[in-house]
Amino acid sequence: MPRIPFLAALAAALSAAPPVAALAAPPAGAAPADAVPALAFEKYRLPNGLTVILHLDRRLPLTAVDVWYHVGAWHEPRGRSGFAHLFEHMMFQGSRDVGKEQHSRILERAGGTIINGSTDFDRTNYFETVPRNYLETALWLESDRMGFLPEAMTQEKLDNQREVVKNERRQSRETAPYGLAEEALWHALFPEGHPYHGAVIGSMADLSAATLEDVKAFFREWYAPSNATLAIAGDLEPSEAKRLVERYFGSLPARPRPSAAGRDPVRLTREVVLRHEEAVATLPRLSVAWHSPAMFSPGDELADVLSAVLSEGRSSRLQRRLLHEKQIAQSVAASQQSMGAQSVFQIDAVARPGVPTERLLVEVDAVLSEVRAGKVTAHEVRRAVNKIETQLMKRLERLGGYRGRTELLQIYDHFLGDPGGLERDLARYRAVTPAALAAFAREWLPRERRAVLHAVPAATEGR
Amino acid sequence: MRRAICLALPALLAACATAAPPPASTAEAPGPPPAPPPDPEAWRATPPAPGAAVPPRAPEFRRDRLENGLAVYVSEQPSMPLVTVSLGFRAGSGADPAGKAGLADLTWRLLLEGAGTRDALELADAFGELGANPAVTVERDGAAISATVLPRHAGAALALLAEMARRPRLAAADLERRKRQQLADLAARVGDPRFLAGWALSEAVYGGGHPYGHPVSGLPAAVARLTLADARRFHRENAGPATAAVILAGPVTLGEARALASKHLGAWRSPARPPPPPAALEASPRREVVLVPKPGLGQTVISMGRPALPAGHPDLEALLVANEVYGGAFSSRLNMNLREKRGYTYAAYSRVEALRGAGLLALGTSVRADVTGEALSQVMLEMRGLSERPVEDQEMAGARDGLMQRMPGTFETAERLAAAAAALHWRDLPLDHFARRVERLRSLDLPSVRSAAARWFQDGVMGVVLVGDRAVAEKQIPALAIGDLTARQPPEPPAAGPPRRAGAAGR
Repeated sequence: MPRIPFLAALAAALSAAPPVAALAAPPAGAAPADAVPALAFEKYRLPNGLTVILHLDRRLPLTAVDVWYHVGAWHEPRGRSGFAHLFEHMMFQGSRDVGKEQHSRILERAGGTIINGSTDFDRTNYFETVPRNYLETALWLESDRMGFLPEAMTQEKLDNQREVVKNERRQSRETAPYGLAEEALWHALFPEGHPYHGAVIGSMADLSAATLEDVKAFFREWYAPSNATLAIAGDLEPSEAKRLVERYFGSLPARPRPSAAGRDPVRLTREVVLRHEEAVATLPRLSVAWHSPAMFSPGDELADVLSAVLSEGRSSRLQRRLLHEKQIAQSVAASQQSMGAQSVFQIDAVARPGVPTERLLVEVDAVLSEVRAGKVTAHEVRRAVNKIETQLMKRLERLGGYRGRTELLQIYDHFLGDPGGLERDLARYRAVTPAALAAFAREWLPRERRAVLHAVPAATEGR
Repeated sequence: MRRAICLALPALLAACATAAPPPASTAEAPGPPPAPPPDPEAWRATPPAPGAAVPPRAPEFRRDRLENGLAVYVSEQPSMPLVTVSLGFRAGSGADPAGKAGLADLTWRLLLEGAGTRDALELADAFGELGANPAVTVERDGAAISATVLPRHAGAALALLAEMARRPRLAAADLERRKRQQLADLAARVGDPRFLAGWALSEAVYGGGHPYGHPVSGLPAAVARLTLADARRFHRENAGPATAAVILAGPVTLGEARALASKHLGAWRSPARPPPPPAALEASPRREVVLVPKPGLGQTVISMGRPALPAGHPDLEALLVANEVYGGAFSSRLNMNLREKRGYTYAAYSRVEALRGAGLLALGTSVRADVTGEALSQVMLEMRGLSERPVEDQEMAGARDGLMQRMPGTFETAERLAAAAAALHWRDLPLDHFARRVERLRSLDLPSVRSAAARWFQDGVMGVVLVGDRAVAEKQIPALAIGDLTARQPPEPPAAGPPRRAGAAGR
């Protein structure tokens, strides 16, 4: 599930840490699959509908708080692309009892780390990791903006953060290598009017159009306790944590849980080929993208394993052919961007100087033909799954923030309805076979259902 | 009037919203009007006090040495799910010989191209069996090769890394392939405004001849001239038990680590010795503002810096606290001004890099092109502001406490711990470096922070680099009178042209 959400700043039935295989454990050779670590938790709900997940881990004197609101770019009103993310910024502008600039100041002075928020297509979250004695402070801050945000909203704050977000867009799109090319490709997959069209950051025009009333209305509709899940992990006393949750969140008024309209997945019906004049980067880049299965739906795990088989490590199929043998690409990456309604499988290859993107496409197609024909071996699949398992274990190292324990619990709860999804998640990867990868590539990655983008710097155009 | 009170005192707002308008009949009632019902949520206006103080906790490292001198560092983390296995070397880009910028980067990455009985692809497959992609890190003061694996794979991972360090192939075909890859990487980087800013700032602060005066990756022209003999010599002089360290972070003890190191590297002999530390530098008055032209860019990248304190210097903590007040955190003065007050940027930060010989104090931000000049003058004003609005007691305490208490959260992962151990090794710092930092922070007083702020944040000696549209800079910068605007063209990308027929390249 590699993806980079946009960030606001920059920038247990409660048992202990997972049992870990000892260093000197089994001898080399065909080792048995490692036991799945227990990520123990307790989940409950307050009368106002707020879901709470607690996880105990005493390794460090830290506590992580991660609040998920089940609303994202998908839920933006028409003509307001980028609004869910702009709203996320407004959540750092103070609330009834918290002054502007106070949120980050209080937490930074307390020794907090990874203080941020992030907006994705399907959800928005707010998080901080603090020394354990500041748990109550973190809950005070989070509850105040969950309950009392609109009282502190002003036109001046909105105008300020609108400018900040426009600069974020300039930094990640207009002045970043391939930033606008990426957006053009995305628009080919999700046309105007599709809720994923805005690619979270949205357009300058829609950001300009957002009003203070939009902020308040979005809060009223989507930021209800019943549409939120609070995860707390770390060095805590469960009974004390529950008491604090009750104190700070229990009296927030219940509001009905909102629901969003569903929508049938879109797919391309013919190959779409785009050319983009690249203004920032110096080398041409080829991108090929397909719609793919939604997060955790059948096939999502095949897309993850295939992306590793294609581009994780020097001996992966695309790296080997394009970088190592032919030496025609500077870099190549395959990725499954998993999202709630439907996902995107994408291959990006940056050309070596003097190599046209058409040449890259020929080689990418040759590799895909091998995959469709069942040439991927069991060895390749095993190595890919091993790497995915290591990546999953890395998500158990941090308590909170990006790719930490609270995020993992929240992902499983949001998409699977159960924070304890780790075992199921690992199992789906371990069951992947070479034949299933071939079938996946035939069904989901055909030529006639893809978008191809040639991003070519003006100076090398026509070579 | 009620409305005005509500706006002035946001804490009362909920009460206002829920209070019913008084019925007309009560207007005739004698006596004062009834008080609004008390706000049941008014208690929220008082922030909670923190719980019992948590003593600052610095990460702990243990070290041993093998008979051949090889250092073994361990960060014991019994309940972590993974272990990071690493080999650190005390030679980074600061050890690039004169005229051979990029040699350290090329040589260390060349270790991925094959070692012992394995070629590059076989090596990648061997790591893949362990669920890892090997990582090569090259910085100014050192380098590391590492892999993060399940604990039961630690020995196998170290065996592979040891092979890379001791018996790299360093074959002609491997060098050619690696060099072409790095030249292609450079061709990509010279298009990136933020890479260009880093390159130009290194030169502006250190000068091209200083060991820290070039990017770690080198530049295309110099990299194109590097030879196999250069790489072999660099490896011979810099990879050996007197320069390297075995580093393990995760559920592993020092005894276990020593046994593994002894098994795989106990017989390692080599004449390699650590390079001397780069020379210290004094800041000098700024004469020019360097512009790297990037036509049509909608933002200008602003990058500034000056030489500062080296690693381990006893005055570093005062500088760190002053930096925290100025621009080291989100809530620092710089970001609050440029982002939260003016909306010029997505982020503005300053940072202290305590390098081995000559440290760096730097800042960076990307601003909307039309406010380039105004943003730059605000950056300077905030520096002078450290003298005009000196650091206050509360500001200092907040910055100091934040830096002390942030340590456990900064070192949550095995990779972070292993990287910290590698940095201790590169810079010859004591094992209790972080505990000493906590102690020094604890004993800081306000005058020393104020004097550090005044000493280091002098706008007149800060090197200034802009990457952006030339017309924008020419219109906005001269009026600031902060130095002559001097254009510096980006490095030429490596010569184009298809690679040699390379279908059978490698082996």
